[in-house]
Amino acid sequence: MKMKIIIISAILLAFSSAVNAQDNLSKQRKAAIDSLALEKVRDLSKYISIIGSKETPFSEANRVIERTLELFAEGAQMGVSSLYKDGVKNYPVRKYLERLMALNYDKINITWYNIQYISDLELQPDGKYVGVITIYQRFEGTTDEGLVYMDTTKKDITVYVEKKQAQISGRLIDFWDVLLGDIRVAETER
Amino acid sequence: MWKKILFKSVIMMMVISLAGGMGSCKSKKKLAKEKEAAEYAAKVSTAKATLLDILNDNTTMSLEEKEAAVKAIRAMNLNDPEIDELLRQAEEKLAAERAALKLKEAEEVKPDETSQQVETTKTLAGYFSSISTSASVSQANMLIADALKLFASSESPVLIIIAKTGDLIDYDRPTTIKDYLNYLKDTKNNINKVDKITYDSNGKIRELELIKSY
Repeated sequence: MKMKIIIISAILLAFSSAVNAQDNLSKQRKAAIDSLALEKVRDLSKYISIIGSKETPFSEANRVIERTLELFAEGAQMGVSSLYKDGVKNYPVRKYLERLMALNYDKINITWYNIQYISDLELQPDGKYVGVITIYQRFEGTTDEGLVYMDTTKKDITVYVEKKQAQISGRLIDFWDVLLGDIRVAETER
Repeated sequence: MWKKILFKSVIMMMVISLAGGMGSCKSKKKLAKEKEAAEYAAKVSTAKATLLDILNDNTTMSLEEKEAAVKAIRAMNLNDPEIDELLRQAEEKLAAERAALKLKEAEEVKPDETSQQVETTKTLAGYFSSISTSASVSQANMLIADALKLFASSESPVLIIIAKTGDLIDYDRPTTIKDYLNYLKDTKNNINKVDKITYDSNGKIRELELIKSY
């Protein structure tokens, strides 16, 4: 029994010190990480706009898809909704991006706005910071016949920030890796 | 009687001549020894004078000439305690002079490196701005191809500092210059400034460090 208590205490101590190691962030450093995560979401909005645009050359769109995937954690999904269909469909990010590129419109305009935290980045027991950023997406698809589909979707993006190491020119560099998780549709309106 | 006297005289002359010859041989050896000693003394004296001149900065020789002179004296193996001590002091002095010269040369090189860094920073800033504001994908791609010529490789690492607090530096995920330039083209988000440039031996950029300026 005593042995069990000692082992559990040791595990907890090791665990709490690992957490403390990342929790000792100054306000300035925490603010920098907050901004970095927001910036990644803004980057995603630009990438989605490029991939969706019919003016983007095919090779460029494919290149940007690969760059977009680098922003996401493995297995992340994107929620998609439509004013004309009930429910939300969730696609793996690659499939979502490929579908976006192939959408049957002649002109597509996608813009994200009001990008902000709805849940601040908080340190989790596993040492990662997790937060939620919300965005509004305005989608406008137009056909040559003049048919226009428009909607505005509010989406919540889970953001993971983790300290990692990389070897650059023979030296170890600590860096903050921001990865986007699932993007869930919160609401869709005209 | 005359024959006897003549015989004796010849014998005497032969003895005298022999004795004289022996004496001459003996003085030649002595002379050679004296000559050798004089030469050694001259060598010691010259070496001593040279070393003292070097130690007292009483010479117009360049550092390389002084080093060569000391090396030559060392090679003579004069086996003189005073010369050995002077050699030790001179070698020590010249090593210090060499180190000081190296330091001075390094300091003199710095301004060149700094001016190169300033120039490259301006050039890179120009490319970053042009790529992020280019009117078309093809124009941006041309600028990217041009900018990549400054780098050792299109895969040259780019580190982006997101925060600097004293010695603590927080970085974004490392990228490569090719990906970074494409990032500028795609997002138009040109908010990072050049913080540090590392060059390779060919004067190409081997590594680039940027810093966020929110």
